[in-house]
Amino acid sequence: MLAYNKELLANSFLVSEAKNLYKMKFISKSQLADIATQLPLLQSNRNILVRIGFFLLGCFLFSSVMGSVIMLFMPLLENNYKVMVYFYALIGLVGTEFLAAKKYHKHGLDDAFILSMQGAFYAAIGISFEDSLLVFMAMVVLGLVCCIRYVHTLSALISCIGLVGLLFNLITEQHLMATLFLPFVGFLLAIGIYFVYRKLHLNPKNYLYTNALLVTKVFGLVLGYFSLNYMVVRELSQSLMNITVEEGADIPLAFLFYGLTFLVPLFYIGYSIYTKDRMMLIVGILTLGYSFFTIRYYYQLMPLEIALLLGGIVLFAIVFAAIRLLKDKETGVTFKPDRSADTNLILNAQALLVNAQVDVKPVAGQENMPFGGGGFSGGGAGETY
Amino acid sequence: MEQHSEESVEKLVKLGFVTEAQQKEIKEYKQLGLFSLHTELLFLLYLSVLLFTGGVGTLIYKNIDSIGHMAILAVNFALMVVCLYFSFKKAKGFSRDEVLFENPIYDYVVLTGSILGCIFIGYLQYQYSIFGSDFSLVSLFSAIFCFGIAYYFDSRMVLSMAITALAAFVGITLTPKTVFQNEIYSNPTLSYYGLALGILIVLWTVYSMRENLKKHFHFVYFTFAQHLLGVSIVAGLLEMNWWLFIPFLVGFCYYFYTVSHKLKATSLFVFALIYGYIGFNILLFKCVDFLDPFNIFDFIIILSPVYVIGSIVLFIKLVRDFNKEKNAGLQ
Repeated sequence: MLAYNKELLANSFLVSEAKNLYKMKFISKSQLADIATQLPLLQSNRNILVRIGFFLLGCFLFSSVMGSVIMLFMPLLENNYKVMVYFYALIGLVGTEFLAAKKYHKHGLDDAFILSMQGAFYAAIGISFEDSLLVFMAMVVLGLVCCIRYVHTLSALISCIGLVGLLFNLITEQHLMATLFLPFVGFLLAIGIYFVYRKLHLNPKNYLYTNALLVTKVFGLVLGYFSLNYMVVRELSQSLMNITVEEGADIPLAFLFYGLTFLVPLFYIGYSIYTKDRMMLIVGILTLGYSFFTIRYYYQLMPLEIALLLGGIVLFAIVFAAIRLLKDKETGVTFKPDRSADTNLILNAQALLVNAQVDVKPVAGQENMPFGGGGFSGGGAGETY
Repeated sequence: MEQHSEESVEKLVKLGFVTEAQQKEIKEYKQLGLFSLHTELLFLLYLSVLLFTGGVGTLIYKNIDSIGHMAILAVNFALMVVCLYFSFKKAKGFSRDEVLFENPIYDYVVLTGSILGCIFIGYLQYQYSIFGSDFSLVSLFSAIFCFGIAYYFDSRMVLSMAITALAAFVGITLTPKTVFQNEIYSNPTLSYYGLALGILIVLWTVYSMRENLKKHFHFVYFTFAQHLLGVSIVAGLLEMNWWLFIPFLVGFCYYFYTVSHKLKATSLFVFALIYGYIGFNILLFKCVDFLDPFNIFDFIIILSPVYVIGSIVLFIKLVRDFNKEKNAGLQ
């Protein structure tokens, strides 16, 4: 089933472990260089920018092949355009298998072909059957197959999305049960996904799929949050159940969703610190930010600038207290930088990001910005927290 | 997968790459069960600064012409002074090398002070026109203010604000968002200003690296210069006098290619290739356009996969060379 040599895949895990050890200063540079050069490896790009670059090139290649195929077979294909899309999926499959045989893995090119093949295949099914249910089913199955065969992380995500789409479609279009249950079914699915993750994660045989499992976990956590988020529930019940929320009224069970919108992220944060799970902590922080956005979206208790000011001060106070608390701890949860943390990288990243939020441009153009509202920072940051 | 990480170390020991003493050290470290919240907490701190200053900026501009605005402005000024006062008190003073605060919180206090300072300068101009009618002078003044703070307190965040302000002075909006949307300016002649400013930044960086003046700022400088130059050249190639920019494109690619090899900076390397490839393709399209009367368009589409495969092979080779050099630097 596996498209790659297991030994070579295992070696790439050894090298990444060695890289971690080097970053944490347990082994020397020459030891790392020995490991990286002496173990036979697959063709991969560890740098994400390089990988994205090759991904784009792979997509160019795929589309240019599509273009030339159209040009060559144009006269034959007057009425058979449906067959054409299957043919593209086949080209994708051939390309994927070729790259796998040439030992390209996590390289960018292979990602482009695996995803293009799947995209073409889903498009083909959608065009020939005109039924989204079948497309979602295909996503679940083919995503899983690609994830297992090519050890491809993003395909796991596709499979999960297919699963959610399938469920959504079954309830809203096929009326499997009352739409009222949708949030709870979504939440149960999230719990299910999380438990599948736990089970697979604990089995050491699955270590080749570490990243795919990580994506599955994050997907489960995010799904769990959004299926109970007040904004999502309210907007969906308005569009699916034709409920109109009038002044002073609210959706059914509103208090429950208000509570869960905040309880779920807080639970994530608390539980992640307890179990030392960094990924869950990040999901918790981001979803908590979205919860504040949700509430502000419906209830403007105070003007935006006051909300920003207070938010900034409260957040600062919390972080300051947390740093104080953790500063001198030597074990467990701590403020000491990780041994593997790359301070230089973080400093550079923050420096480059600061411009996305802070605008030092003068408020010169009076005609297009009459009161300079938001000319100095503002909106961009407001949404994240 | 904690147990798997241990197994990997075990395997590395068996293969003879890692010594048993090292393995013991690793085990002891893992037993501490450390879970560092350093990055996460600092990120939240950063967010709180941006929220707060964003609120201050909006508050001031919303209350212009109302009675309370003088009070708000005074509070803004006082806060700026307080931030800078604490930073001065805790700073170790100016040095040509990298100096860090003992407590990283002060990096963010410096950042808050600088943003508030920029808001204050901008407001003074808006209300009282202290720099006359030329609004771009505000940016220049903000840039000088930020450069001073960045060099004194060794803050890369403030440095990046300073460079952006400098670009704003010549009329260019240089933020990650505008670079990706190719909207850094609206006026075509700004391509020339962009080129000039980019070259100036590069020259200054080379000079500071030679003089050992805040050498670690080079990555921020080079990143800004690269994108400024890259976007200016690509935009220039689409203009009337496009042929003027061809030597710049060649020089740009060559320079950043060598610099990235020297500094082993992958992002500089990748973007040198990306801008070069975009520029080359624009020129190629111009050639095709020129040959259009011969009606070879279909032929070109059929041949395009060959061209793409050719470029992929070339890029794979370039990346391999780069990685070889980077890994050789490991030893």
